[in-house]
Amino acid sequence: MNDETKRLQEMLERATAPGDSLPEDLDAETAALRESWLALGKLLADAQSATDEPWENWMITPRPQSHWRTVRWAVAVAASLLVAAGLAIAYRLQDGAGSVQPTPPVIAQDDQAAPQSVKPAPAAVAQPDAEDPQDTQLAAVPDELRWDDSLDDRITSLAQATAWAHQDWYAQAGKVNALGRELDEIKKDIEDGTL
Amino acid sequence: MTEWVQEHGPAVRGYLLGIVRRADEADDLAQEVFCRAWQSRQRYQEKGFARSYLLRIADHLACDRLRRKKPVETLSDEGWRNHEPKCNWGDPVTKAMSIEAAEHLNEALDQLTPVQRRVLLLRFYGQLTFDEIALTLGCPLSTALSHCRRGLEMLRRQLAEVKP
Repeated sequence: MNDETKRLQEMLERATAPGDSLPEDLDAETAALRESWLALGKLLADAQSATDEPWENWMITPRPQSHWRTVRWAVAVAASLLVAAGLAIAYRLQDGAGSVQPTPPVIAQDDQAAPQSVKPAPAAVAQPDAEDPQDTQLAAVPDELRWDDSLDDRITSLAQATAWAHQDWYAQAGKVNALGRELDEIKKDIEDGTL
Repeated sequence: MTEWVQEHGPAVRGYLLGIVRRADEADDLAQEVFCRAWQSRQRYQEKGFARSYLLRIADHLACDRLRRKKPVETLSDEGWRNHEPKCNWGDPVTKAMSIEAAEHLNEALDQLTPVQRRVLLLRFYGQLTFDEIALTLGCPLSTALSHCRRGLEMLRRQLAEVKP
């Protein structure tokens, strides 16, 4: 702070000091500023006393703005969730419609054809599209497991279903059902002694 | 907070009235000042004097209000008589005096620039130091001092014209 600023600050602090007295020891310039200050103070006090409310009765009433802000946030979050859920459902439906549900499962048995009731579930695993690289990869699975009997075919289907279930998250539920049915079928056949 | 309202309410409202120049807006903003002060009371505890704290909030809100203020259409006297609610001043002399006081104040404040008005009112109502005023205004100390001095000189000229 330079000297001029310091001098001005001291002068203004004296001129605008609290109270309504005009000290005699002020220099002419400070006294003039002090007079202006006192005149302003009187105007402010007069105007304020005329319009002042009794502050004892004052009540601070918070505005409802913050409440509306909260509501707006809640609506925005709800809308976002709704959109996200809609997108997820749409994706699922699209995925379900686009997924390969080609032919009925060919689950060979020694003496009879595969029952029709088993058809829908393992369909996706039984006939993968050979042109799809993923399917090519999956098609390699049965070769490793080949045993040349009906149980071998079933295990092959099971292995394919397992691979599909690992690969395709969205279709996992369907594949798990297929697995369940296959296992039930095998268990039933073992119990019946047909295998 | 109740103590704050009773102790500093008149100063806060007076400051706001000097800045926005309308009693209803000053009341509205004064409410807002105390609400804000209550909401951020934790921050205040670290800082200092209540009145200067409240006046800084008031200054911020008033400037914000003025910045966003839409043009106001002034009603004619007849329009005011039709729309203005009846006041509870029983004595017509009191009413006349208050109107006159408000007019004098407005005439004086009209002579000042908005920054000069802020400096003088912050000093008057909050008894803020010039360092605090400079901080509130976001300007150097010398600028705040200069605004104060020019404002007082302007008032002196204006009052000298009114007196004769």
